Amino acid sequence: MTLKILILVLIAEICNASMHTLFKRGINDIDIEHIRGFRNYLHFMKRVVTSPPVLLGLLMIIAGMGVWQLVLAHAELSMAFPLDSIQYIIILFSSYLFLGERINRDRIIGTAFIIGGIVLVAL
Amino acid sequence: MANNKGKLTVSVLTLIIMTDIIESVAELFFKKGTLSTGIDNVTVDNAVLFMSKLLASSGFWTGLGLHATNFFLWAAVLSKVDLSVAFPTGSMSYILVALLSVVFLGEHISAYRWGGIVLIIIGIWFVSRSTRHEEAR
Repeated sequence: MTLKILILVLIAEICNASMHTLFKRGINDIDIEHIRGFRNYLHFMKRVVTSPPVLLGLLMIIAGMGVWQLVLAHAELSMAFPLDSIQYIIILFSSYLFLGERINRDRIIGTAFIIGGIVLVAL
Repeated sequence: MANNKGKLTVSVLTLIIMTDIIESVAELFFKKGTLSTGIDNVTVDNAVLFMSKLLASSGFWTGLGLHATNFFLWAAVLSKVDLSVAFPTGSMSYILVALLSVVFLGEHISAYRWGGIVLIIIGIWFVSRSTRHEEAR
């Protein structure tokens, strides 16, 4: 695992985390009290697919996929997967910073357990 | 920001599990698509040939369709709960893949992997507990 690959993985992870954050940002902007009933759901989805943050998020997926292909060309998959758990830390921070989510103690403990679990499963 | 507060209810959990299952299946179809190109080492020289073969494969389009379906399910999930709740809960896919490989492929699960599965379950329990003071939507 060279430094170059590590940086590439980090860029791919940041692209992916930005995509998730942008999606959530776009969906938060849609003011729908309850999505009940099919008509309401269709209206919600129409707002989702025309939301600028969501569309920006889709661009992020494409960028992330491109960078990830470079990673796979250089690194063993078994090495790349445990690194995927960095994502959970980035998302915890971006949810707090950009989405104003309240991160309490249980959520941090839970996410830490999950990261530990993923590393063990990927070993 | 009162509109993004929500509990991790059984129905939201079910939606998240559905997106996990669909994503795993989509990856299998993508893999099938790349295998059908017959090119296992993509270089600058054969990249165009690889892409044209990939775009002509049914696996690629099935995978893409499943990902599009997931996009709509995930949007429904995000309309209910925080991202910092939905995303870690999505790690259930690791448990699903492990259990499916035991049931359908007869694979052996190492002690490490069982330990990892237990940690993920504990983690999801904590994350769902972190939402109990949120207003139900």
